[in-house]
Amino acid sequence: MAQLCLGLATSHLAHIVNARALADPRQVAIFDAGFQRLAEALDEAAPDVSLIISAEHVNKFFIDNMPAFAIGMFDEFAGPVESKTRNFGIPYRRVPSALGFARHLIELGLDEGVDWAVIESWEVDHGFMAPLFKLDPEGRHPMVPVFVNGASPPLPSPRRCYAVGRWLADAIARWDADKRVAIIATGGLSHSVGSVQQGWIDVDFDRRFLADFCAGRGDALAKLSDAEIRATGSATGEIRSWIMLAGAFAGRTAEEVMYEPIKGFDTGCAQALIR
Amino acid sequence: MSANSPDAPPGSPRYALNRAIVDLCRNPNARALIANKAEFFAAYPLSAEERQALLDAKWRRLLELGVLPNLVYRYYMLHGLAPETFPAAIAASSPN
Repeated sequence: MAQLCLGLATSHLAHIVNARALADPRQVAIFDAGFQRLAEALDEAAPDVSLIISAEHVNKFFIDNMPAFAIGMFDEFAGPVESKTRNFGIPYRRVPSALGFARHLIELGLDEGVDWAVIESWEVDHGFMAPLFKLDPEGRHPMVPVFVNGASPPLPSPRRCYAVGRWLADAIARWDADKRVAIIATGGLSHSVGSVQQGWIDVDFDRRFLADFCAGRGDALAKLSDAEIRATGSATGEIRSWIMLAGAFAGRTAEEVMYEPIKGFDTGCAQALIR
Repeated sequence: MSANSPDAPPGSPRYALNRAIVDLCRNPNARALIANKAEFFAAYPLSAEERQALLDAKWRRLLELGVLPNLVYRYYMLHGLAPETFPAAIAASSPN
C-alpha cells in the first residue's frame, strides 16, 4: 500500500522569482534558504509522486463554473500560463504527473463524498509553478495538481478543507501500490491582492496560524471561520491548502522553516515541513 | 455567457462585470485591446455605473461592484501600471 512520506508547505508568490528587487534582500535570502531546505527534503524523501495543492488566480476557473476542489487527471501538465502572454520570469514547461494515482483519488472520492471536479488538461498558474521552479526546476518529481478554491468566494470552509485533507491521507493509504507520496501545500499566509488592504500583512494572525500548524493543532485551524481569514486579506484564503495538509498529517507536528512578513512582496511568507 | 451572444443567459449581479474583465485579461491581444476598452466592453450587458467604473478605472468602485480582487489587480496591470504602485492607487481611488 502507498505511504505518505513528507509534507511541505510554502507561500507561492512569483515575486521570489520575478520581482526580487522589491523586497529586503535579507528577507529574500531567508525565503530562498527555506526553499532550498524544502527542495532537499523533497529529494531526500524521494516520493514516487506528490500532490501539489494550491488555489489559482482566475486563470483556469471562473465564476461561471467554480469548483471547491479539483484534481488534474493526466500524465503531464504545463505552466505557468502567465508566461505565455508576458515575460513572467518563470519558464513555461511541462511537468510529469501520475494519471493512475489521480484516477484512484477521484474514483474513491466520488464514491465516498469527496466530489472532485476533474481536470484533464491544465495550464497551471504561478500558484503551482513558482514553488516548483524553486523546489524541482528540472521536473524530476511527478506531481498531481490539486486545486482548492481560495480566492473566488464563496469558498470551502476550513472545516471542510481539513476533512478533505484527512480523507486524502486515508485514500493514499488505500492506494494499492508500493509508492511513496508527498503532499505540497502552497499559498498564503496573510496577504491581499487587488483590494484596499494590499500591502498590509497580519503578522499576529500569521504567527498564530503557523504556531497551530506546527504544533499539530489542525483542529484549531479547522475551526477558523471564513470571516476571520478574510479579515486578514483578500488572498489569505489560500491557506486552505495548508489546512488540507494539516488534515492529511492530522496531529503531527511540523517544523517551521521560516516566516517573514515581506513588505516588498505584500505577503506574510512562510514555510514548514512535516517528515 | 458570451459577450456577443444576444441570448446569453442572465447571471448573478456581479457576473457580467467580472465576465467582461476576465475576457479582456485572458485575450491574447489584451495589451492592444485595452487601448480601446470602450469598444471591447460595448458587447457586454453592463449597467451605466459598471461601464463607467471600468472606463474610468475606478479600482475601489470596481471592488464594491463585486469584481474579484484578483481581476481588479490584473485589470490594473493591464493598463501598464507597475504592480507595486497598486496600494497607493487604490488608496487614492474614490469609492464612488
